[in-house]
Amino acid sequence: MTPLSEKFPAVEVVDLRRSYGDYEAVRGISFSIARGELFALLGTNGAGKTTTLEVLEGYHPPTSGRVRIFGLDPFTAGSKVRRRTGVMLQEGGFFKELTVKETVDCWRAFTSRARPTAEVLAKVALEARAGTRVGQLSGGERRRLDLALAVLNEPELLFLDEPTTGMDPEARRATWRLVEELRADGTTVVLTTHYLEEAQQLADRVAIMDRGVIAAAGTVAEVLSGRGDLISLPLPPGHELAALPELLGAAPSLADGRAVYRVPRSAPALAALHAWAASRHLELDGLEVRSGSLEDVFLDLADRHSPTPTGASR
Amino acid sequence: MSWFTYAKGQFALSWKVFWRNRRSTFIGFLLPVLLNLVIAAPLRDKEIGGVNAAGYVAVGLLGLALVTSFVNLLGGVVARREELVLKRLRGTECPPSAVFAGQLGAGGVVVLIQALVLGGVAVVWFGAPLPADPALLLLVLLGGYLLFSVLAVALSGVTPSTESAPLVATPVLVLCMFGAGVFTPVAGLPDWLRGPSGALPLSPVVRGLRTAWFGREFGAETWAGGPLRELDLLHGWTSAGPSLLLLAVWLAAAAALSRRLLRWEPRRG
Repeated sequence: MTPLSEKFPAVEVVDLRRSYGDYEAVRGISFSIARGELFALLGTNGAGKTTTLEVLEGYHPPTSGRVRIFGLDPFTAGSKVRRRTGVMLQEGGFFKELTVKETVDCWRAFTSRARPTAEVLAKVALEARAGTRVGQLSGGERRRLDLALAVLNEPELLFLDEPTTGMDPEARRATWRLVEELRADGTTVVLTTHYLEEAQQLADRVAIMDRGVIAAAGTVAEVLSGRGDLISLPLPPGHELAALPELLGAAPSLADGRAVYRVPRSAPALAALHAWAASRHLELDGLEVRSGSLEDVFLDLADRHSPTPTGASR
Repeated sequence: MSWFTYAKGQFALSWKVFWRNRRSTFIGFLLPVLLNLVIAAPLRDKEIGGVNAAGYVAVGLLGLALVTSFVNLLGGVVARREELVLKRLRGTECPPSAVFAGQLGAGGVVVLIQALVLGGVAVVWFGAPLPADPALLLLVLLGGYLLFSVLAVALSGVTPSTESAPLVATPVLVLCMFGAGVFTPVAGLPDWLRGPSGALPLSPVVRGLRTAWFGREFGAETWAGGPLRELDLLHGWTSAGPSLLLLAVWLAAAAALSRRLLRWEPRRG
């Protein structure tokens, strides 16, 4: 690693577009990821996450725009870039005939600076399965082997495409711990995920993709800011939605039989709600208050063009 | 890491997978050896064109071993692609050329072992002579292997799924097995079949292998005919010239095809 390469960000994307035939999967996105950062790319199926990731990983050239990894073009300088990156595909195959240990051993033979097999298997908690044929692993175990191969070369930049899909909750938490460890060592991580709590928990910054463009981007706090808090309650007996008061100027909406308010601040809104209830001798059973989450942002985007189109996860 | 180190790593991977998979071990290794015992061995006491007939067929089967390795490679490349193993390998620092060099190299070493087994049986049991021109023999074997392995990579691109690989491979296998003079001389075929038969990719290989092994001018031999003309080393090469040329043409065509057709990932659904 020369000092020269240090001055480039880990990832730089400028006005990236990528089409398959007539279909434009990514329609002009730009972002940059600093070294050591954990960046999460979120979005529904068909939003363009995996396409974006596969361009960053050097699988495809951009249709137009510019992509640089450590200042290098990942498509034309593939081998050089990949010596410093690790890739966990959304779906990648193994040789079912080989055992877990044999797979890692074989991979080490063509990986620079490869960690010892035992060390990498311990990292993903697969030591006990070392002698098992890959064809006999569970879905979650295969994901862990995926992860083992992705971190085999101690990458400076790690791509994780839906890393915890198919894992049980325990394995998911173990994966999060591993990702946090890698970050503590200075690894830059680019993550796509369906699990919003995963992004909320791990990411420094997120970008939410929607139909090939970035709909929202920033730190989790920034993306959530201005979204306010949610107050929800079952409709009180004998009350229609229209009978409920406005709170801080916000009218309620109906969702799953509950009245839902989105308010800038919850305390004064709650005070107003309680005052209203007390004047009518109503009990507010089942009242819930929570702060905005990425899920809300996400659902808002999905709502914007319902009915939701179904698309391949590309 | 150098390109050679990457290729060596890929070789080791393919080698291990080849022997671990029963199907590839059978088709890619055992089939020509079994055919040798069943078809060549009973001809031990016969002669054709002045040479031991069992040895004649054994050398033909060595040619056929290139086609069984083709069948195996075609299935292997398609399976790797459809199961997204190729995609995974392409995401590593290993250069794509080294990925294929390793896979083709492993298949090549299997063919070399088959050459030793088939040749050893022919010499020790059937009483065939040692190869007259080992250099020419190796050249034809290597050229033939390159041709059929590159052809396998090319045809993998038109094979939509693992299940359909036999549909693409079997016609090539059957045509080469019966049309290229593996078991019985091409001269025994009806006139109208001789032209197309001589143009099959395996034909120049089988003929070249026999010329190199027995040091005689093959091509016109028949079961009823007399001994073929013996050739010294120099005339062995001039006699094999047209075969080598035809082989080179096939190889160039296969290489061009593979550049056009090779796919790294399944078609998008």
